[in-house]
Amino acid sequence: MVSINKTSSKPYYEQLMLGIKEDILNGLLQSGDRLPSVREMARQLMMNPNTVSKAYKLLEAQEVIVTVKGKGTYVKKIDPTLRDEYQIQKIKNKFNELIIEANYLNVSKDELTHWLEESDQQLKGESI
Amino acid sequence: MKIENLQKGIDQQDILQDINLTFKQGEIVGLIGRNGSGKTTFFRSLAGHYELDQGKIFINQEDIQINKILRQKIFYIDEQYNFLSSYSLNKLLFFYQHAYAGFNKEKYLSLTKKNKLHPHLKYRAMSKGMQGLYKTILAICSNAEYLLLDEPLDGLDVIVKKNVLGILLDDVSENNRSIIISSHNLNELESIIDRALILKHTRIQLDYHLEALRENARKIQLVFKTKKVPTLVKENSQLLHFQGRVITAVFENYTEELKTLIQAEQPILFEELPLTLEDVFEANLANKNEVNSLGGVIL
Repeated sequence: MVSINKTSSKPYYEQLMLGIKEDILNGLLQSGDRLPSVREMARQLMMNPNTVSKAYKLLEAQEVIVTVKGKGTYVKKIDPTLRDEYQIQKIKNKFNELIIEANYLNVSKDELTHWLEESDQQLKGESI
Repeated sequence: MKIENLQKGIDQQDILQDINLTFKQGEIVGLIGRNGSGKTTFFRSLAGHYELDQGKIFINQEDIQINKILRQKIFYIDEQYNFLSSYSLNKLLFFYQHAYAGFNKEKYLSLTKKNKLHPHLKYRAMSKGMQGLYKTILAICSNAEYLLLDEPLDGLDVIVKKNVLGILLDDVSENNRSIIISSHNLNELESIIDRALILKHTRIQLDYHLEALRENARKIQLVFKTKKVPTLVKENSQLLHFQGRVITAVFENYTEELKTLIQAEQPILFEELPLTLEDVFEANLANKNEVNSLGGVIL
């Protein structure tokens, strides 16, 4: 379940977005599932509704979730062929930065590959 | 609500000066200050319990000191001087219904029922927690646009606290109210407020939007080879404390460029630490007084 880490340097809305995406990837949330309303989510997390609403709006813009007026917010069907090139490029840039940092800390390429597999396994492993 | 140049003194002592603020609808604001910093005076001034020495308060461009009916748009219960204690809840409902034209009786009845607040109960017979809960219910049911809540969580147990917060959060998501909560406890407010105002030395010293702050500020521990702190660090951060060579500093506007520049100074240790609101406030407020003495230590 989504949770907020108060000591993280990430803004709360980003943490919430990431948390929901994570839940979708490991199968806790599936396409068509209804998400708690802004109000319910705010109450669950004891968080400002404006922050929740910001996260939802951004997720909607990224086509992760969809809001049906008067009904609620749902997880969107993931189209496996659809790729958002702009977002992908952004992630790639972040990845590059990570590699630079890792190199600076003398992390070898093999180690990095190992991490990649580990993270992948964690995501898949939890869904079974 | 727009506050212009508010000034209030009591017994020849300045309590509030140069207060210029705007409160937006749908915003939860934390008013933070130590005991005696003027939080209650600020609320009493807004609610019209005090006459202002100077300044104006506008709601929808209308001066509330002239158009007194606008007071209905503000809800405030004075912690020290209020009339609640000798009345039953039924009677209080009657009073508040008359004081606030938009009072939502249905909601009041359902909330008091849900929380087992019986109409014949006397206010003074209730526990502190129950009183706190009841005041919160009155506040949101008044349908006032601006709720001024003076330490609404003070002295409540965890369960009542969650209940009170839940009622408030539900209400902000449904209605476009602005809620101003005073507190000396930052941790309690951290996740629910949009904006924090710090009241100190009769003035609003700081006005932060928290999500922006979380995005831009970092707390970093640094050790440099020499005992001298690079000017770069001094200029861009507020120093929290030193322990030998270890410097802990809060950078309010932390950027990648700044990071590169700091790293160019070749620190022996460079570590990001989790940042809480308290750090930011400590850094700012302490610095205002002690900047000289700290400066001496650095050099």
